[in-house]
Amino acid sequence: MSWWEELLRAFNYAFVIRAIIVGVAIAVSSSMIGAFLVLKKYSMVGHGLSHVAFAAVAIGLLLNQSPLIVTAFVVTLVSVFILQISERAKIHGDAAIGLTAAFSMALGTTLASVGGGFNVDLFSYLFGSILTIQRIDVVLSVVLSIAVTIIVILFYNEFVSMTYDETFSRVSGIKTRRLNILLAVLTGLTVVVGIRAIGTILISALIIFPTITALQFSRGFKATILIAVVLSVLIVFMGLIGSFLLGLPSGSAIVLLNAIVFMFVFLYHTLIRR
Amino acid sequence: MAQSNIITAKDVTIKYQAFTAVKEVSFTIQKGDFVALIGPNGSGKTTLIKGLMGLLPLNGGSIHYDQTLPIGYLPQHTHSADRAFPATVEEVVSTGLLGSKRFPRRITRDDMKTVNRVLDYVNVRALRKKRIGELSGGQQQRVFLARALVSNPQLLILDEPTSALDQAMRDHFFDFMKKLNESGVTIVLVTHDIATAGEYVDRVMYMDQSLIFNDSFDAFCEEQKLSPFVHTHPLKHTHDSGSEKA
Ligand SMILES: Nc1ncnc2c1ncn2[C@@H]1O[C@H](COP(=O)(O)OP(=O)(O)OP(=O)(O)O)[C@@H](O)[C@H]1O
Ligand SMILES: [Mg+2]
Repeated sequence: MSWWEELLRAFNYAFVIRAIIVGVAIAVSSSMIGAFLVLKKYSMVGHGLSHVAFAAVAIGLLLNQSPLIVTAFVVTLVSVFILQISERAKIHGDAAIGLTAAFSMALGTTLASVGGGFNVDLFSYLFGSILTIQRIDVVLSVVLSIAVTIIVILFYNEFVSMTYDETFSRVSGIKTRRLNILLAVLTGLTVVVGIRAIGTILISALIIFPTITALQFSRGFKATILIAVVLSVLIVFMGLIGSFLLGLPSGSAIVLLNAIVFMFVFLYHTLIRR
Repeated sequence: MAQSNIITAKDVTIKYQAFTAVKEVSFTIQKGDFVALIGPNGSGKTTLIKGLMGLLPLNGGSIHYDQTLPIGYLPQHTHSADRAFPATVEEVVSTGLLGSKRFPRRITRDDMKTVNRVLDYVNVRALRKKRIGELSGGQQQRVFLARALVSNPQLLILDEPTSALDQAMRDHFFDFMKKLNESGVTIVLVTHDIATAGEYVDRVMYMDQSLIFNDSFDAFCEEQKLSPFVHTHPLKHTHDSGSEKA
């Protein structure tokens, strides 16, 4: 029963508690936002933004600014920008995201090599370091997830309507442009807060996986969101605990667990239910 | 004259880049009108409707609207069925109610009763818990019709509402439109089925880039002389008559 004792001991460490709070908070906001992004066919926005965040972190480190503030600013801006591009110009949304992501990674790594000294820091942003989470991260992620939850609840019906049929929503008097910008801003902020914990590379997984998994067996929009949020929270929680016990990198553990759950649900539904 | 114009369109021109899809179209829609907008494929009907709904910018002319009227709109090409979209039929139809609500636009129990009444009406109530993407094309069209009707609109703009409906549903639909119209609802209907629609509407607008004909159905039949059903037969007396006659 030594793993059990180890688990109990783990809860005595402040950093473990902090990691769990932050992880759960990010799970809530990213899966909620994710439901709308995935169903709007904007799954890759999170992916693209996480790459932008990487470049923004590099810029922040280079300028000796707090990377969090620089990334929050840049990523939110780019989030709105990507959305406007795919809405207006003739560039396909996915192409716009691909371009942005590639450009940002190139910029980030170039800046990293120019700046030289901060490679180690940058690496921790790439893959997350939930073990070195600071109080500010706890505050930010909790505030963000509460804000996201409240906004999604307040605008739930409008978001659903817009996600399903933007044209109809616009005609029926819903302010789709404003809602889109709101969604873009929330996405940007979720990505920024998320990269501190599970890293630039892995945040998009938390946006996409829970919804895709929930879609396998849910019926109805509300059910999908609820299942996605619950799943995501459970998976993040178990992933964190598991990674402490087994000494694995926490971000990767969470994503792997997401993938495993998805595969189980998917196989169950394609092989057994049909 | 105390005519109440709901829509006044004047010299409306709409272009896609250099291509003029709608050219200098002028008309008025009065309260209580029941109008069929017809014309061959690619004649600009959908473009004009989108212009009316503010979904496309005008390249010329103007449209004046009675902003106070709740509008029900059925787009021509409703969703390419995303089979995996999780919203149920009920949820989709309930989004039709949001426009008439104030923030935070809640859907109440009473609203769900209204939704189910309308679903009953278009005969898809049994499917209400299904995902929208699991429905057939015609069933989906019924659902979108329900979504357009659920808010009890005073102006209905329907772009080919019957194109995927079976004959029974079509007749049922037109009967219902007539009833709505008699209760004061103004209806603009894009259709290729003028044979059926003609018996119900009180005005036919025929367009092919520009508005060519705008009068009663009887006058329309008169004008066509041959057969009222061949409305795709161009009435191009305003254009140069080339070598089409043989
Ligand atoms: N998005 C677009 N970009 C460029 N051209 C367009 C676009 N949409 C329509 N058109 C062109 O404008 C013209 C009018 O199209 P519209 O869809 O309004 O026709 P319609 O009368 O509704 O036809 P249908 O009976 O087939 O529905 C067509 O020639 C079409 O090719
Ligand atoms: Mg059309």
